[in-house]
Amino acid sequence: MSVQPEEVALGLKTQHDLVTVEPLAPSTFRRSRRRKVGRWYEFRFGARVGLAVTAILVLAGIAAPLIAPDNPLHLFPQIAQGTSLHHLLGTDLDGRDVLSRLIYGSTSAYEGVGIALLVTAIVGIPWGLIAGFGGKVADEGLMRIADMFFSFPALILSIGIISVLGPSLVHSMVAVGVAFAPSIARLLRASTLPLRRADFVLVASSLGVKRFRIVLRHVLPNAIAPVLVQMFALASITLVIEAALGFLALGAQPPAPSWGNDLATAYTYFLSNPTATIAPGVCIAIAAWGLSALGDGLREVFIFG
Amino acid sequence: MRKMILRRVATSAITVVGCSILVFVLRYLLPGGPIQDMLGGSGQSGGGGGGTVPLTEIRALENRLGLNHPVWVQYWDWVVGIFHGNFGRSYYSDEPVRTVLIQRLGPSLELIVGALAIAVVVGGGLGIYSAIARERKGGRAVLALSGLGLSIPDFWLATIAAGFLGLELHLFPPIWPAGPDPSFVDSIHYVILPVLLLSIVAGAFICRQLHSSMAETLRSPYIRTAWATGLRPRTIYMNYALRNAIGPVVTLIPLAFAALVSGTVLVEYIFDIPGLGSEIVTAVINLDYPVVQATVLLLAIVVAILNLLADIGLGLLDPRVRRGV
Repeated sequence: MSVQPEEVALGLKTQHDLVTVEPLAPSTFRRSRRRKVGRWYEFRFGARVGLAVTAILVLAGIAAPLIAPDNPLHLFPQIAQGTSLHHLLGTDLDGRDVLSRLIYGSTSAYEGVGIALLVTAIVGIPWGLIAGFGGKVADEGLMRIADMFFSFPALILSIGIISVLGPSLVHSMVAVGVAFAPSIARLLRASTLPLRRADFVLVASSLGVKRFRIVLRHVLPNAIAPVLVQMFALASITLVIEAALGFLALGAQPPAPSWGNDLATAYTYFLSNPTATIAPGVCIAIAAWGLSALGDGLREVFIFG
Repeated sequence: MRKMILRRVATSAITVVGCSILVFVLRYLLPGGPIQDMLGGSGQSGGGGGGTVPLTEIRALENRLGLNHPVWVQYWDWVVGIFHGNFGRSYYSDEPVRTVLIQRLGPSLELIVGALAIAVVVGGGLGIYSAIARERKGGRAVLALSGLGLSIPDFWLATIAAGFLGLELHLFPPIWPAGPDPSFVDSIHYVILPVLLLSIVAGAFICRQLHSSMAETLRSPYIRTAWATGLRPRTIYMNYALRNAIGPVVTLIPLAFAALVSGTVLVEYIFDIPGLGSEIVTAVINLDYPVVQATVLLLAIVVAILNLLADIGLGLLDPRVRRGV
């Protein structure tokens, strides 16, 4: 059964199921080297569209002060109005321009994704490497801890961590990053296992290279590809969770523009301006799709290419 | 079989203990600690408010809450308390956490059980249908729809449903009634839309999983043999194919449950349903850590138990698992 990234998004499948690691033959003459970087023509059409969508949304967020029609915090006297020439997507309950808030909100979404993935990498990569190359006790212990993490629904675990850190965009995405770290750790451990007996590792250790250096210089570059791909698959999930946490007012704090948070207030005035409810959701769905299409494309290039 | 169950029960128990440690220790990983949160007002780090509170008051509060003991003593007291049904008191309302949990459990259970039932029956049925009819238009349409159901953010769909069906068309009550909680029969009226919304994602997931599992089974040689022997299609699909195809899907039901739990948090928030999901959000905002702790632990335990049941169920369904092949 193939695993769709969307299924992981909903916490339906554990993330490490996404990428399967091809076991290396016990003894290969493969040299320790970085995998070749995927070439552009190997990128299929869907992935290119995903890349384009992501690039456009990120750039729109960065260039928001130039392209947004209004200040996202400016309060116009027209409250909760529908589409008009002045406000293409209408105004919200406080009289702020919905379109401008959406454009500015892109930054918070991708910033959140970036923070979460960074934390996942910082926590998950050492976790996986130590489990893979740190000996039996460390392996067993660290993987049991990972199992424990997996019995919490991702959103619930994130909320639990936010309860300690306090609600804010950075805190909430750190929490999400921590919640996802075990999946990266497990995947990285799995992909280092076959390298334990790879020739270049045996040669390096027989030459007296320190284990720390072997792991960092030889094991990590050879085992990292599935992890990087997995990170992109996680990106789309993270984006939706960022919106969900913003929605619950546990992520980005109002009045800062964020898609999730805007959605949370928008449906209360659905009758007067339905576009304010529909538009943020469309943004979330498109952005999440873009990242997951990009991730799928990368998976093909890196793992099967 | 007995040995397998015992082994699974043991690993589940270890996981649950680990989860309880994780939930408990989380709080102490950060400087400041609960006292500063409680006395320091809004600032989470407590830097602003902490200084103005007299030290004696802090000590008194620490004594009352047992926070002056070492962490492991506190953990032990907490665990012993849980076995006595005592989850501590809410920092915010000073009510026993148990009362809060019991009050809030009802609506959440209604939502999750209802949605899971719909998801399994409808999603499972559609999955079987789409696998049988995978070459036809109907089957493909069902599969495409299930893909769509998985990729739309559920809380967005819920807001639109609340806005459009609730506020605009008045088909469903958009929010929970104020005042005392309605009786079970009355509450069905209020949970019907949330349950339907929740079941979309879980149902789509189960549909897709059962589809791929069933489609794979239907391609296997023994099914071709069954056709060749001239058995009725119904017998082939239900008795031969489904029994084999359903195994992997059974183990995924706890995952669907976990997704439903996440979904309930959002849906309860949107429809203002006083369940565990909305409680945990309020508790986080109120810095009411005992409530968060208890709720998170409760959910993790339920997920662990469901995982256990699913594995045992798979053992009952599939003799190969039972014999540990």
